[in-house]
Amino acid sequence: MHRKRTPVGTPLTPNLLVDLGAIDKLGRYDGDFNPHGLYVNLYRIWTCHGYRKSGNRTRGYLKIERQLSDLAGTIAYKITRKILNDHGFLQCYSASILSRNDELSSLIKWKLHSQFFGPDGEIIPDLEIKKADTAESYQHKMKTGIGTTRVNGDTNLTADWCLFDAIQRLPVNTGLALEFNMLEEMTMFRKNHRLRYDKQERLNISGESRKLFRFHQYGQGTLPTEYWLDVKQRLILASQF
Amino acid sequence: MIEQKKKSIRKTKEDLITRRKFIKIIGSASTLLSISGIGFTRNIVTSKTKTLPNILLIITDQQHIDTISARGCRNVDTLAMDHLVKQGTCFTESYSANPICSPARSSLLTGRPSSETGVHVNGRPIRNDIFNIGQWFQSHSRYETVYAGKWHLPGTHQAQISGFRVLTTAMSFHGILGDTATSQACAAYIHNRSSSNPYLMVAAFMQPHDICEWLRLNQNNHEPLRYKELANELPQLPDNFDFDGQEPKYLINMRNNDEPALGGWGEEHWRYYLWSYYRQVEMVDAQIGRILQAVYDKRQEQETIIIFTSDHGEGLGHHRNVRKNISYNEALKVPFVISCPGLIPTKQVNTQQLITGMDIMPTICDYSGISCPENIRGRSLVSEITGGINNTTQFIVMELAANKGRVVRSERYKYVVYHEDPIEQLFDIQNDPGENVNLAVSADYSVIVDRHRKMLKQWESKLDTATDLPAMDAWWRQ
Repeated sequence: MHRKRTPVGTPLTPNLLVDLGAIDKLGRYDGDFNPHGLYVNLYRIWTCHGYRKSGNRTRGYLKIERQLSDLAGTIAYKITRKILNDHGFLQCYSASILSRNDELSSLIKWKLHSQFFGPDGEIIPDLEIKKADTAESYQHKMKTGIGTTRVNGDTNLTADWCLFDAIQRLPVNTGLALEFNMLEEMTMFRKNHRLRYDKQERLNISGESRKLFRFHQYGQGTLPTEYWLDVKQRLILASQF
Repeated sequence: MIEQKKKSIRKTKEDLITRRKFIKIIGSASTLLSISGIGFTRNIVTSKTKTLPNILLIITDQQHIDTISARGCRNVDTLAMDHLVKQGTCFTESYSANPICSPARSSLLTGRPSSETGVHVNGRPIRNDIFNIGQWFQSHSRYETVYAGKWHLPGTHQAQISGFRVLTTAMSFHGILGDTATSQACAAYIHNRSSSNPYLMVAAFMQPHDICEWLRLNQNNHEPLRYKELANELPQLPDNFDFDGQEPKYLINMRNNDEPALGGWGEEHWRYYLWSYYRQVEMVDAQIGRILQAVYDKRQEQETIIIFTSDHGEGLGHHRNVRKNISYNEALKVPFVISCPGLIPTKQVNTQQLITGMDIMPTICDYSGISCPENIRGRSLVSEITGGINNTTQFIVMELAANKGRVVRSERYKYVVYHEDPIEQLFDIQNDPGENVNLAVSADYSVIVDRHRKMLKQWESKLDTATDLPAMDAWWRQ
């Protein structure tokens, strides 16, 4: 337990992540980024073992596509997440989500598809699941199934993956303070979450200094998440520690 | 030894009893009840269907016993664990057989202490001639045995585990990301299966073990609080944060080399650590909920015995400790809940019976109608669960990693001795449950200390120790 490795010791800020080698460059975009438009954001998932030079690695990716929706006042998302676990077991999620075009992209309905692939690259058929649900039905089940009548079904319900989009449309404003419930991976309920804007910071990378805006979120069932947006309010980094 | 084990498996396969035969025997011989759970079969069936129950063993990692909201912890909201508590029976005097990962797990999965399994430190395999529960069930029944998540005997995760089909591995040291694979694979397996054979499933989560990564990431005392509005929500320090300090050097050294000492933590940072730990318990609670939802959706709650426990506990600021591998109750005590509505009493709390992780395998065998392996040290808890009987177990013994020490818990006291350390510990658990005052330093308690030394010797005299265990001869000389 007490091997001679140097612990990180401090929160995972963007500058520290550059120092740890987790980030070596930030993408450049053609044209302006429009958080109200159609786009694809691709995020690399990287984990830190708590030491500066040991056990830190890339584990997978998360792709968020904001798409056209047929219904007025709604947003459609297509989500893909792949995580490579130990010894080559791959877990894949894909989801189609319909949300309201409000400040939290609150949920209307969704489909979720989960698959596992073994070390040989073959799908494991009896571990595949497809599910569909609506926010209305889910909130009803929370009151009648296992788990609780303690949930306030009237509070806004969003999803972690939707927040990655919604946060890009929030005002950079120290007065911002939102409260909501959240679904993690479209299946795990997290309640009493709060989201606030913190401040500006500068990221020093590849010889440049870039302005970033920091938000933070915390609540039941998660460690605090920090969101870092660039000057075009594109979400470039989310960290939890 | 491997040949002996193979012969034993071949012999028992010849005697394999099919599920149909089992049900027939139950119908014709229902008055044949055993006296003791060990070495005999019991005709345990579920009340609803008279078929063999599914067994779901859920193991978290590094979970302090006092982290379930339905059991009175106000600092967490644990919907899934609460559901199990309300639907089942829990034991409050539940101890890890050895408060560190691999040794604890070796005892959970074999019913034997770590000095017998040969897993006295992390990262060792179980002794060749001792069955794990999967191997035992595979060779004695038609149960389908499946495993998902952390193994650590020896590899943290392994693609192949003898005695089990591995549904999936997860991610070493990252329960925050890897536990989702464990829960999702288990939920999908339950959702999709159509076999008439029952299953024995082990769902082994990493969380809240990620507190170890948190401690390294947050080692430096970065007061004031990064999220200032959290200040009013931080839990209070435990009552035994300060104590008399009369303890073996091993414990002092552990504390001096952990992050709070190295980082010079102030009170607010300690409390922020507690707050973060409770969020990580909530993380794994939701993962457990995903599996329970699958059981519920299949309408199998009354056909599935669910056992929830942890390998060991977590310091959580008690005695200014973090992590595990120490002899105080914050690391030794673990949650233990068993649930199967219709078969197991609901909302029952047993506060008297002393149990360890070694008791899980014989209990599962008992409920499954399967005899136990020879020399199993744990005991079946069926009498205590269904009959409300409190057994006459006079004491239990827990071991410490690398064979550095042992703990004897009797009805009222707890005795701790470390190898080659002159300071022993004795706590009156009845009057001092927080272990604040070490009574062993007072001559007034010498008779009680001596009585516990004798209990330990009695326990040690029966051990079938692994031959490669270090420092064993030192114990015999004491």
